Amino acid sequence: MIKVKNLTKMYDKGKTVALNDVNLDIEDGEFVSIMGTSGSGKSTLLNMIGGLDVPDAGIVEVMGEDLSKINLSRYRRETVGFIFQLHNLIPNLTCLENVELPLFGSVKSFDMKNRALDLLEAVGLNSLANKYPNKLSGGQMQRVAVARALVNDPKVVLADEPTGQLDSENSELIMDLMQEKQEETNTTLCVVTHDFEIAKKAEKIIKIKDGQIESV
Amino acid sequence: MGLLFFSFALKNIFRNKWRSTFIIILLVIGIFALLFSEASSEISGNLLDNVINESMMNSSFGVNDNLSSLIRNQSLSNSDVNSIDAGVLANESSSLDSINMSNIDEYRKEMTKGVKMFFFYLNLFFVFIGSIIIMVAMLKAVGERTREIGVLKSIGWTNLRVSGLILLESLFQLFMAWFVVTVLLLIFYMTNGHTINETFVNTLHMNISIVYRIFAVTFLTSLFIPIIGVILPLLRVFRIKPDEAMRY
Repeated sequence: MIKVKNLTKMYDKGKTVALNDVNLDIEDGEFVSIMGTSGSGKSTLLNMIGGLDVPDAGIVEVMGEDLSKINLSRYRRETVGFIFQLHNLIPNLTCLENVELPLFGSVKSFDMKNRALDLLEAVGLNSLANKYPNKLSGGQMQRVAVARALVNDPKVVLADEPTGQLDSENSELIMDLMQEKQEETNTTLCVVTHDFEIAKKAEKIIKIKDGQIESV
Repeated sequence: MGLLFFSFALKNIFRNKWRSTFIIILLVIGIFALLFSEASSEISGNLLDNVINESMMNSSFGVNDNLSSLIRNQSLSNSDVNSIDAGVLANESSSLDSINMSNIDEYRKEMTKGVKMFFFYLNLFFVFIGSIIIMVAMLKAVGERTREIGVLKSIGWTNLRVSGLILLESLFQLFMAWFVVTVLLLIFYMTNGHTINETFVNTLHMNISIVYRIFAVTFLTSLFIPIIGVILPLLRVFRIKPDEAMRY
């Protein structure tokens, strides 16, 4: 499903090596945790897999396609769902509109609304569909972000410390929700975290240190 | 699909109400300036035509009068003068008259061209100022929304789509300004309609089609304000990388 070959990424004109010759295989429908200390390169790896950034060397292949040879906007729209540490919802759009955003341009208006409402129902927030993000709690906002990430039926869901800003109760809720959806739809789920309690829910834990994979 | 896009652009305008109000007020002033310039161009062209036509009419009447009196006098004082002499004189004077006519016509064309050019450059100046206002406002807006633009790109929005949103936002501001201008002009017309009709139709001999043309030309000219104004902000949008924007 996801193949990473000799991936290298540097910043500051080569002074900082974020990823150094990383090789990785993630199977279809697998739930993987990526752990590491701050600055170890785990978010950079996730960004490379998600097509948010391009490597300096090496290849990222998703479903057999080399990301350097495809349209990344289309890939992000059709294949990937992102969940960030901060919910990153658009503050002047309602929850429903926020969830509809990834479908814009690829699905008809009526279907967009129905699919977004279905997802909001799945995360237990259909009653708050027309509320603005500032009226929601941190946990609720992150659940909307989960709904937004899943609305386009992605093959891969990438979550960068999705529970980083949440209390333990909400963290548990969000992780259970993501895991439930992953099992239901058989999507590949990659979660970056430095919380071992969350990481151990995954089938595979990848530890990164100084831009290199320490253990799998 | 379109509805979400339109509502997103509209909501973005109302996000910073004070800034949007300020921009709309400036655009209203800009549209009035454009309207004034376009109307002045039309009116001055029309006035110029009227003045020149009148002076031509007067001068040609004067020539004809002199000629006829000359012929009349010649006929009266000297009965030997035959009709051929009168014909020759008439032919000479009519060729002089046509030279004068073509000169005046050329002069009129030159004058009208000059006036039109002046107002054309004045319009360009107003469009330039308006574009600068829109550019500053949209650059600020893009700067404030860097993270959001990163989010939109990370969920698959293309550069073109994000740019469309920014362009639509500035077009909406222009349309709102036009709405305000229309309302103000309607109020002005309702209170001063008689005087306006008197001035435009009776004194300046302008018909309603000219008024429509002034509005149409001004509207089309004003469309350039947001289009030129967003070029630089859009270049900034294109340069925003989603992963970097997330750290913003």
